[in-house]
Amino acid sequence: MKNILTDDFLIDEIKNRFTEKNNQILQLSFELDELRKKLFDSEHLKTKFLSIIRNELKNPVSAISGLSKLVVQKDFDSVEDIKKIMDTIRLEAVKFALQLDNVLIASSYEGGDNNLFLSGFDLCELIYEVKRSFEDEIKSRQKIVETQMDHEIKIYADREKLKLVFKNFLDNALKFSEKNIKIIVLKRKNSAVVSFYNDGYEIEEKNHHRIFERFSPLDSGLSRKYSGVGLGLCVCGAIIESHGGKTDFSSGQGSGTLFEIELPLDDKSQGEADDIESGEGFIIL
Amino acid sequence: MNSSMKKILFADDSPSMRLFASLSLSDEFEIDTACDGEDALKYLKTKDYDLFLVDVYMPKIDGISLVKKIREFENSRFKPIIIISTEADESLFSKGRDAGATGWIVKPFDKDYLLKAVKHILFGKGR
Repeated sequence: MKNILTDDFLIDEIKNRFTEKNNQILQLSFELDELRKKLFDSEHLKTKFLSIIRNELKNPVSAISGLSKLVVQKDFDSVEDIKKIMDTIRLEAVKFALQLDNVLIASSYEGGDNNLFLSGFDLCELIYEVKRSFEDEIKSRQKIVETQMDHEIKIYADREKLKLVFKNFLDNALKFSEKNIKIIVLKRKNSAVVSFYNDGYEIEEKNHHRIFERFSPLDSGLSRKYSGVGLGLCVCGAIIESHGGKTDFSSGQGSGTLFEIELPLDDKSQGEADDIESGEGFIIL
Repeated sequence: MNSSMKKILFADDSPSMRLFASLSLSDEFEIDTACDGEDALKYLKTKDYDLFLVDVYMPKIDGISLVKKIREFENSRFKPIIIISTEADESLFSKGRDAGATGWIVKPFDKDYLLKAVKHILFGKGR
């Protein structure tokens, strides 16, 4: 049978191919618009984040430099007045250090460096250490922090990074609680579970999915109820994940907010204790 | 307190900054400190001020919104309002200007700088 390519057939074929290509171009154009929008949103988010970071880091620096110069320049009636100012300076330095740690860890994770420096230590001791470091703030905010722990839970993990995680959770709890905070540490099968409960600010359900997101303080406009870079929980999530752990939380309906951190206890942490474990201020190599 | 002293309202959510402002200015001025925009408005309802120093990022009512609200008060309509911020950004300057702010001070600053700026605004050529 002869194939006859009629003019009509050819025209139809060209039209069909043209339509197909046109549709592909439209689809690509649509995808390009979507990417452009995402890039714009991402840039906008980064700009907003940098603005917040600048504020949260520069504010304590501003207070520290201003107040310390005042101590030198001004005549004070009593040593108590000077002590009060020095204490304010110290607390600002502590605040600054926490935010700076968050920024540095976030940067290194963004750069693909999520290496862990592992050593064996007692998790409960670490929690006590973190709580002690917040003692002045707990007092000045008039909050009650209860701890409930098993005797000793040996874990093999990055001690300094986990310290940052627990500092962030306790810092959040102090900011958002009405009065009461509870820290519970216990063993559950092959995991250690650390829970932070506070009786205050409840996270609206519409924001639940954003809790551990980058650059996502839940209120990030000029008028913010709570200070904080919005990096804390994101950094915590990343550190816990790099340990093979997981986080969960529940909030709402008048029952406060509970964050739960589950960390695996591998064979190394459940074995016989090393003669010397890492502890406050030192890491065993 | 000398009743002829100029009165300043300083609004900032950082307790350290409020302490710093109070210590820096209280020798020569009568200074009240507010912890946020809402707190600042409560002060404004009970007292007239000669100068307002207002942080940008504050809970409840932010600095830019506070500037607008201050301008709604009869006795504050033409008083100088200085915005204090860690940022020196043209778009924020513009927002401040449109809201009715007189000037902008960038953090960090020391006592000498703050005093100099305040005196210039209140006694110098500034509005």
